[in-house]
Amino acid sequence: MPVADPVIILALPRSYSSLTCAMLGQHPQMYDLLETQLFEVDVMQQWWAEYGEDNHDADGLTRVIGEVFFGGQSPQTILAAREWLWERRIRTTGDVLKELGEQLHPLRMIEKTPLEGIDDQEVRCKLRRQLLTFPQARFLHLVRHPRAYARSHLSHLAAMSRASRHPERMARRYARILDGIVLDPQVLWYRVNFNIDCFLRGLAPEQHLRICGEDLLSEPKLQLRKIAKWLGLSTNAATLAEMQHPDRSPFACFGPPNARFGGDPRFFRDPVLHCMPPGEESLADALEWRTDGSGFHLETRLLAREFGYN
Amino acid sequence: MRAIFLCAPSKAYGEINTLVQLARNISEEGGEIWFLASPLAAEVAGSHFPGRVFQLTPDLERNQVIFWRMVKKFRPDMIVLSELYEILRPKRKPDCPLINSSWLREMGEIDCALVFVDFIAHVPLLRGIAECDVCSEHFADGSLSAFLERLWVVVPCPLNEPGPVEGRCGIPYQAQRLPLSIEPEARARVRARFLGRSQEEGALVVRTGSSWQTQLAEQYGVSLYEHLGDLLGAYLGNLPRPVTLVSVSSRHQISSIGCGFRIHNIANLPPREFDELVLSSDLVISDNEIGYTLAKTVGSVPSLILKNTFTREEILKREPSHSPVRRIVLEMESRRPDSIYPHKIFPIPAHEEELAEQPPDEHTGAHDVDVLTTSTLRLGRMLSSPFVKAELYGGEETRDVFERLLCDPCSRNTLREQDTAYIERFEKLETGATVLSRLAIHNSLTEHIAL
Repeated sequence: MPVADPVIILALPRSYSSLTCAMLGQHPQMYDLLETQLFEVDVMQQWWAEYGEDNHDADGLTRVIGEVFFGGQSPQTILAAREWLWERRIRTTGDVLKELGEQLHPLRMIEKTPLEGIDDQEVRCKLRRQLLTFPQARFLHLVRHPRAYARSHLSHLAAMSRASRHPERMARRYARILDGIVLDPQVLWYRVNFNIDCFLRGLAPEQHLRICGEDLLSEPKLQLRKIAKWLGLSTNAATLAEMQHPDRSPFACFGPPNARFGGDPRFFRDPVLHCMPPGEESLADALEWRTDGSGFHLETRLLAREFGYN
Repeated sequence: MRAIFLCAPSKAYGEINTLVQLARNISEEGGEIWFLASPLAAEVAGSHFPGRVFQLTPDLERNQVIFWRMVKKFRPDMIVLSELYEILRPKRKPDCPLINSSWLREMGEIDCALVFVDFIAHVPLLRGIAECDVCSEHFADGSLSAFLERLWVVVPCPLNEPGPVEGRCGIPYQAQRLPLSIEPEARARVRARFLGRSQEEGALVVRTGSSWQTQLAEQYGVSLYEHLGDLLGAYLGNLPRPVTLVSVSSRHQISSIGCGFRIHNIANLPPREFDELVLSSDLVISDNEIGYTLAKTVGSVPSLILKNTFTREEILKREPSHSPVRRIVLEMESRRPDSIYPHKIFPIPAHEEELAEQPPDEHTGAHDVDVLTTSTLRLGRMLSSPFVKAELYGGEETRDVFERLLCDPCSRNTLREQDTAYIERFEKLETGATVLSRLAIHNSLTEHIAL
């Protein structure tokens, strides 16, 4: 069975990837997924070890499998989905994604698991895994202003810490944003975006596109047309109007009690597109989350400028 | 308008080609369409609508999941179904199963119009299924009746009569443009290819059939196609115009040894080249009255349907001892006994037509697999027959029909007039997109199937 070349959103957490993915998924030739974590590891055994037991990080994939293979997201279909995934525990994660793609054919699936890593090597490894699995995939690099991202990420981590039953996982999350001994998400912003940028430079120009999340929110129609056109998909008015309804995604809500998450809870609470004017974030001012009064590092500022932020 | 086309059967091309025309019509009017189709139909539809065709599998549950996911994603105003008789009969084991009672129950409640494209007057047969106790039990709790009651029926023309037909359920619509034509250069090219230097005086005859006919003939063990070259030689061999026959079939070849005219066997042609061939010819012959190809010829090229109403004994009694048809019939019977029997659409025996009038089998809840096609002829609701019919084993009478069609300008003019009258009725119809968009908004049309 054939698989349509997927679209892979390359983005940090807190970069509008849930909203973007759900909007793209409303195009009649695409289908949005939740956060599957499938590109995080090589084989399903690792996926089970890392996410499979008592962990909301598994919710995204189980909800997707429930919806796509069992026709919905109910406690029963989630159980069936977990069984389905368990039966594939000796397969590679790429095999599972391909099987998903076959089931969705001719729709192009959109993968959006946020990209993080403790170091360059980990980020590159995940990117390589994506390309090896789908050499013809299209990569959408979704960026957000480093200041807005960092503020949002810190606030999100704080909320997660209060709710999490896995302190070791939270510690790992915090370790990714350590700048020496200071918590500063700009290091993760730079690490991930720099490596994505390097990775994409090695691909054919038509295989990747960079979009600023702020632009998507301030002028969604224009940006969605740009993305659909880049993908060679229809861009008629009706389609663009559909795409501005992320709330119509089957995943634009909380899941059943046995797989409640799989994406951004804020998006699940309010999945409607709220357009907003571009923000006035600065690259020059001191960072409010640092006590030493310092601002963005030079490399962060340069990369952000390259992405169009001033 | 947003429409999902459901095309489950897996053997015939005519139906999917008609649905593709309808889908294209909707698409040209700004609508959005998607297909859920068997592999064969998906291949055809996919070449017209890449990226919009989902494929059915041999797994019922998986097919249902795909179908409901399509409904959820595309939120159609309308679901267009075809060949329901084929897929609803409980005895049948479809290659791509989709329908069971729970599916029917959910469809009964779906919030969009359900439209059945009735190619060859299946509605009465659907009624038969709904009224059959065994079938009702199979689908349980009245879900089938509830589903059928929701169907709007549309009938594509020129596969059906465009004018009013007493007792017919359904709204006829223009399924294609008529008459079809090709550029003179293309016609000259095709004729030069097959007629060579004699393209002015020579006659080009195209013979078509469906692959399911050959498949069924092999299953039945009847030998017509092995002797078709000989038989046609008896009719075409000594006409005043030299005849070249082009036979298009991927499953059999017509033997040209000693038949007295030229034969080109072509396994298959791309659709456009096939249309060019048909529209460049002087006559199209077929033993399949419900073939999609015939619909393309109306107003452009005369068509002749070959049927048989005689038994072997009757033919032997009719044909004199020196008749080539008599010799061929004896040869056929000596090689494969019982190859000769009455049929309107080869190789389906005409007596099965009578079975269709009876209630379905009490034990199985179904007729024999192939009854449906002949029974539709009995209902007389299809083609108003601008097509001429002749006996396959008719001897001199059939030869005369061929001669008139190919060599007599008066006969060809008469046919042209009949075609013109048909096209006048046809032109009064609305396009498929217009009819469906009216149905989508649930206007006051009253030709609901209402079983």
